[in-house]
Amino acid sequence: MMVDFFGHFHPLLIHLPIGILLFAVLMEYAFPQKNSVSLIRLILFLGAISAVLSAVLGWLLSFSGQYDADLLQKHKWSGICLSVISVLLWGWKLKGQLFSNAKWISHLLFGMMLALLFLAGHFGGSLTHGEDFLSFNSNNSAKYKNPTTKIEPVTDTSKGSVYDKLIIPVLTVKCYTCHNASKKKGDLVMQTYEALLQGGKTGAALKPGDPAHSELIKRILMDVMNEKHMPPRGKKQLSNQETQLLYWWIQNGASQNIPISEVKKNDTLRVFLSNTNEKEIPELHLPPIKKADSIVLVKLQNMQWEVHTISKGSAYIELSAISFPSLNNEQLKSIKGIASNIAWLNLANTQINDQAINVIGECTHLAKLTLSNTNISSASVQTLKKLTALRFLNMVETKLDDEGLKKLCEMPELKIIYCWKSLVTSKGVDECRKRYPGIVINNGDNTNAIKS
Amino acid sequence: MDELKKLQYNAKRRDFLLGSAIGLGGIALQGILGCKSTPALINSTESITEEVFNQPLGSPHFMPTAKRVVYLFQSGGPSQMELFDYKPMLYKMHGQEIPASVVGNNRISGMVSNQYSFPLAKPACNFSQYGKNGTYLSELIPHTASIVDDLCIVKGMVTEQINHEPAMIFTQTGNQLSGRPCIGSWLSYGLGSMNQNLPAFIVMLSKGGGDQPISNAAWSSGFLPSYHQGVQFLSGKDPVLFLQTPDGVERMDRRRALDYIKQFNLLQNEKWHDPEIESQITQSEMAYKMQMAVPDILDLSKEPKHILDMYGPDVTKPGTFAHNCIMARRLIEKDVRFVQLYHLGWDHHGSIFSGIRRATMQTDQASAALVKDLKQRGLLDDTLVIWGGEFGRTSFSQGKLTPEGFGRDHHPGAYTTWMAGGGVKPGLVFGETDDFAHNVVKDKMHVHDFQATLLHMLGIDHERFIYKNQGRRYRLTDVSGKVIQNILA
Repeated sequence: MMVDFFGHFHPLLIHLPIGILLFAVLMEYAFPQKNSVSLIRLILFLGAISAVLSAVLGWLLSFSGQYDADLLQKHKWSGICLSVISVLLWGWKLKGQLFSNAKWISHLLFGMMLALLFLAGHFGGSLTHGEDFLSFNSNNSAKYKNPTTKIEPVTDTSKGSVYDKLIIPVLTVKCYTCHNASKKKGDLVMQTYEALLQGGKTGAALKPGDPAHSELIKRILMDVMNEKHMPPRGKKQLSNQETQLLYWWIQNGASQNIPISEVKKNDTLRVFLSNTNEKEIPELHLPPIKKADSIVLVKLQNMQWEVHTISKGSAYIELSAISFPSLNNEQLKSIKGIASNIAWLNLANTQINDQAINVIGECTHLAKLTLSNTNISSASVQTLKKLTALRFLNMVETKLDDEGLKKLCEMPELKIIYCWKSLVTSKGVDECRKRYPGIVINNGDNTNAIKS
Repeated sequence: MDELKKLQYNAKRRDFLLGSAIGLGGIALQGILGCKSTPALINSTESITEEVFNQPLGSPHFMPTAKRVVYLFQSGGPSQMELFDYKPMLYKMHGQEIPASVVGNNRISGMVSNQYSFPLAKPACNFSQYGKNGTYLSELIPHTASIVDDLCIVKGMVTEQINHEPAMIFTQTGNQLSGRPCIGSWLSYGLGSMNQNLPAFIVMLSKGGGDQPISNAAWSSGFLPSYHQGVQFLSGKDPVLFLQTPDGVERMDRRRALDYIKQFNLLQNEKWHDPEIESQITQSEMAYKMQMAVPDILDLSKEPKHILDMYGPDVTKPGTFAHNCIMARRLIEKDVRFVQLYHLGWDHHGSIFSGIRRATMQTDQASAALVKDLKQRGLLDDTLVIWGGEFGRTSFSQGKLTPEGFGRDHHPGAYTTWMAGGGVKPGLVFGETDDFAHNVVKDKMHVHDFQATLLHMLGIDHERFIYKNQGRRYRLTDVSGKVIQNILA
């Protein structure tokens, strides 16, 4: 215990000899006019003392076993050599004249000291910050310093295991920075499956089948203010889904071999398999485009259109005629200038009819369209089908019929269509529901749940 | 002018000057760059730069899943044990003391603090399973049960307050003391109106519930400009008072009068820069627009009979919960951002058996009808409907448990709220309580979490939606709150 306690002062004290010895080099070679024999003796004395003390503490710390053995050896011996050289140099400055007046001996000692200082310093840095902390290779250093926050979604679920494809990426981004083979924080290495099972100072990191009693899960779920919480406060935290993934994996035995297809069965974890990997913030899923012409937007606003940007910084807008019930086919043409910017369009309760459909057809990025209570009929369907991004279509109280509904259901992105109070019959709806199970068709009839 | 006033107005003037300096700078910049300069390609996920305080958001931080909200507030504290949270243990242990390990150090109200015995009381009703998932629901809410597959039932709600007023103010404003803006005001301020002819935030109280008082601090705009406070539609014949132009006055005359008044107001505003003058101008204009828009909304004569029947027999009586529900639907159809309903009469300290039957009779059918009606019109996808009170009730009896009946006291440690539409997962039961519906054992949702999640659905990051007042930055969620992603579809 005491060994450990004093050992931990090594990283603190180590900065003294580095500073003092560098200062000695500076006084000797950069400011010789300000230097004096007694001054350099004093500086070197302090440097040597602190170097020896640091080396002793470092030696104590090395017993903690938290560090990569190879690197530790290099750091230890370069450190010991440095303390010896610094003591020698101080001795030479004190009593050297007794033996020789040769200047080169002092230069040699200074040179060796400087070299060892950099060497020991670098090895020490590698021990604490990871071996590639100085690397200029952006891929390499980014892995540890700025781990990518997004985890690549898995598209092929036919082969591979949950551990390889999902668990490792999460641990790489959120845990490996500290729990790698060279840093070993808390004696825990997570980089291999075996090491993860072996655990660290507090014991096993996980209990297969019992996530609630697994140290890994306990630490993640702990209050962030708790000093045992992992990842530590200030570091990038695990997302809700990532925590659930780990939880689910441990609950199901924490085996290396659970096939990735198993994840599909879990509602929350399915997001790891889709393109929207974290799903923390809803998105439009439309391509980036140029912003709408603001002059046109102001004109529309003055015409009583309601104009809103979908979200801050987005080039897509929502256009609604909610306070513009007199809108007719001719006035609808006013949206032409910004047609491709409209993501959501609400034309409910307006005076438009099928002749207006070409203008709507120009809104190529339309994701949501409301035409309820208008004179739009199935004649417009052909043009509506051009709206390949359309996901939501409201045709309540229109003249849409069964034939039109069938055609609309062929649209690639369409997810939900409302056709209550239209000419669509319940037979037509049933047919489409059977043929296109991926599309929700609401005819106003499916609001009553069945009592079990 | 006295010193204090000078200070106050100077502060406001500083805001104004700062605002206009940024504004003018922007205009100048646009001139230099040329208005027609090709706009750069904008990525929809572009990060947002540092926000200027006390400037409304204008548009949401990210894409909203809900554009409008109807909050059916059930004031008084609906009992979770008689409605949503089926606990067979309560039937088994009826009359026995609630285990001390369950109660722990939980706070109890002053109304039961001199009670020495806390006998458990079995629910005053029966439960059966409904919907695709076989969710247990009370026999008292058959209509709500019929839409259970559309609902997200949150059983793990937790609040910090044990008395009505502070608990309600806490739910609405994020703080137990009145004086802060409520959810509707925050939204009106932050996102603005979606229909220039109607206010963004409308409040309706239903009559005939109970005698629990309700204060208008619950729909106050607090330190936000006062035109963001909830516009209350009264429950009488004339929901918005003095909206009719008096006999003998032409609408054009009214317009001209308003224009002159506005000129006077603008003169005053130039002199004082009092934001309340701006509020006055905005309000007068809104009232003028509402003269046209509101009568149309209030007119139920064109509603077909089968729609009225959905909401129940009370629907045609102004002031009832059912009437307010159909009004809410009509307002949502007109894109009103936030419709707040209050129903009183859930405070069953005694004789819960009859009390809860009365309350559910008044609310069950209309609440369910509202969800169904919004759904068939295609409005539920982007409208969030919330049903819930300010806290729950105790599983033990308040006072003596007699064969004639019993009551339940306030309980902040666990209660149930449901939501539908607007991007919540339908058919989900979220959160779990212990066998006595006393403590939340899984998936707790604190009121601040609820508020954060609500704002998230409207596209707002609750941590970046801030108003600075008297030197302190305020949020709806104050200094806490976490978005509960698991209830989001």
